[in-house]
Amino acid sequence: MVLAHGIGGSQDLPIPASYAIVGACIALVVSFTVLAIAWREPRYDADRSGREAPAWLARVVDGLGFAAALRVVGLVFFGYVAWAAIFGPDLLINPTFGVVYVLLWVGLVPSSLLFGPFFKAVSPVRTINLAFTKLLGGGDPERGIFELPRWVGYWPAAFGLFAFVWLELVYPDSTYLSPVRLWFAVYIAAMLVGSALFGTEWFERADPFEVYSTLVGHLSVFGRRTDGTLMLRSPLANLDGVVPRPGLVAVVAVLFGSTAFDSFADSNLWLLYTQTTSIHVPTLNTVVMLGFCALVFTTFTVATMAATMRGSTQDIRRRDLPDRFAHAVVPIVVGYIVAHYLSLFVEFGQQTLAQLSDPMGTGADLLGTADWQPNNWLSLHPTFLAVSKVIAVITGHLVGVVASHDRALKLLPKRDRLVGQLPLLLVMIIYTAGGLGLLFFG
Amino acid sequence: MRRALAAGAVAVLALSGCGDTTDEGTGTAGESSSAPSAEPTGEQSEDPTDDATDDPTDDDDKGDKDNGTEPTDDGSDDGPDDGAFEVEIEGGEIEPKGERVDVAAGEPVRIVVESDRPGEFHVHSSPEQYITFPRGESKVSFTVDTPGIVDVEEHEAEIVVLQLEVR
Repeated sequence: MVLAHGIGGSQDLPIPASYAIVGACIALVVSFTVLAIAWREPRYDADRSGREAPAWLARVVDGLGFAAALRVVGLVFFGYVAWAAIFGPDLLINPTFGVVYVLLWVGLVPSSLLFGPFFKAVSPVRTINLAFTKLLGGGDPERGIFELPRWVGYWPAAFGLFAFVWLELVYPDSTYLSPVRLWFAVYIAAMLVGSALFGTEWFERADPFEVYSTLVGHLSVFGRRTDGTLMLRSPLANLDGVVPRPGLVAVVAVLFGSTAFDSFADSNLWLLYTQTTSIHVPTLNTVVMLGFCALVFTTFTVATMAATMRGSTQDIRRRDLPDRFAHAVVPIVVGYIVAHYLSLFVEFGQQTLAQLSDPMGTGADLLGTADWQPNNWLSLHPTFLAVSKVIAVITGHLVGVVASHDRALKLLPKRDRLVGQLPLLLVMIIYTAGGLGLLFFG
Repeated sequence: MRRALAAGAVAVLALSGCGDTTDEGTGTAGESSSAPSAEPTGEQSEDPTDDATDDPTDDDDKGDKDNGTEPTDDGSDDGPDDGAFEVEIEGGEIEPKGERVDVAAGEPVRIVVESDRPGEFHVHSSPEQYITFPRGESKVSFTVDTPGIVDVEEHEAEIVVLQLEVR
């Protein structure tokens, strides 16, 4: 990633070719094994699976104090980083960059995997919106002036996610403060205006970080039944609860496509090309990144629509099928993102914590972490790192294949239930093998 | 005193760096207009390139580790001069442009530079290393201790000349 230059660090070594090949073979075998021997009746239903969380846990989590504490933590941290972003030095020791590109963007994956929709609970824009409505004595913050049209779905979030990855991976000055500040000023404005117009539903559809975090949070063990009860359930059952809406495929395509682009852009081949070409490189990168996302979007849409020629059970139109299956790619995306960002998160994450202690670059040590030296154990053990990456990718693939199998049983007409899965299965194998290939190629 | 000077030079070099960071307080801002000027500790007023031209050896803050070490055979024999890599800069042209090479962690990486201007390499290891070279032919050397892909960027041309595959 561009940041790899910024943070003064190196990139990971490519994984050995043999790992990539073995990984792809395992993915292939896993896929067809699931298809051949797995259950024949749908098994996961987010509304019926799992059990209610213990009463004490539900009491704490549903309590006002817990919610308020998380909001305060989120807002204070936001304010602290905003202070560094506005008044701190425009140097790479400014913690803003590490917070935005590593703690926020990468860190929301593990925090959501562990705790569910993490960002929603700490989201500063939600808190500010809440405070505004309370201060102005307005009515219900949930309700806006207008109803968001159904077709809008997750498209605003897909757009926001693309805007973020563009800033991070394409924009050459992404490690200067002014573009980062501008990006977040526009983001905050869009969130506040949108929520004033459309109510808090806007955050669930348009906030790139919240949509990403909530999506990944469906792979945690925490979920809610439709009646709001806090549930503990297997991540597979939880994943079934992803609400399909227009644009969900686009969200997943941007997440996967941009991460794949990041690997690709780090490759030696691309370096050699971009350093000799006369084409304007940021433009070229924009087009290529868009191409990666479009490729994921198209292959997935085609594969899921090819599942049946007959239309679905439950009166679901064929063109709605892609969004109904999109949740199944989430684990593949997460597995690949974990593999891609693992060492960066661990090592630069530590460095960011150290930088946070000195937000003004004055040699201060406000948090007592300024002297931390990042522990680079992971980089020093490249074999362990490579094995972890392959395991992450394979795990994601396995979960994804099981989720799509289960959904196919639910949605496809009886005659297409098995054969209809083949195009999607093929595409998933291509995604996984492609991801492993890029980890090797990098 | 010399060390202090060198540290100061490094700070100034870092200040005029190409948007990269160092690990500790002497951070950098790029020359992009979007970056307001910054004042790292120990800033000095000398022009960094002039300051370092007569010292072809590693001039970074932990440079004494490498100064004077006679290069030993590090096993990466795919370059001339017995394992050293070659970089040529002439009239705005720079070669190579991103060649990937294998090096061993902890072993000296040696580069023979032939240049018609003084310049500086940014070694994107952690921590970063800044190595100046004078006009004419010179040899520089540094080590990278942590495995990974490490870019060696020539600062003025903003070109990654070598990508080290450190194992």
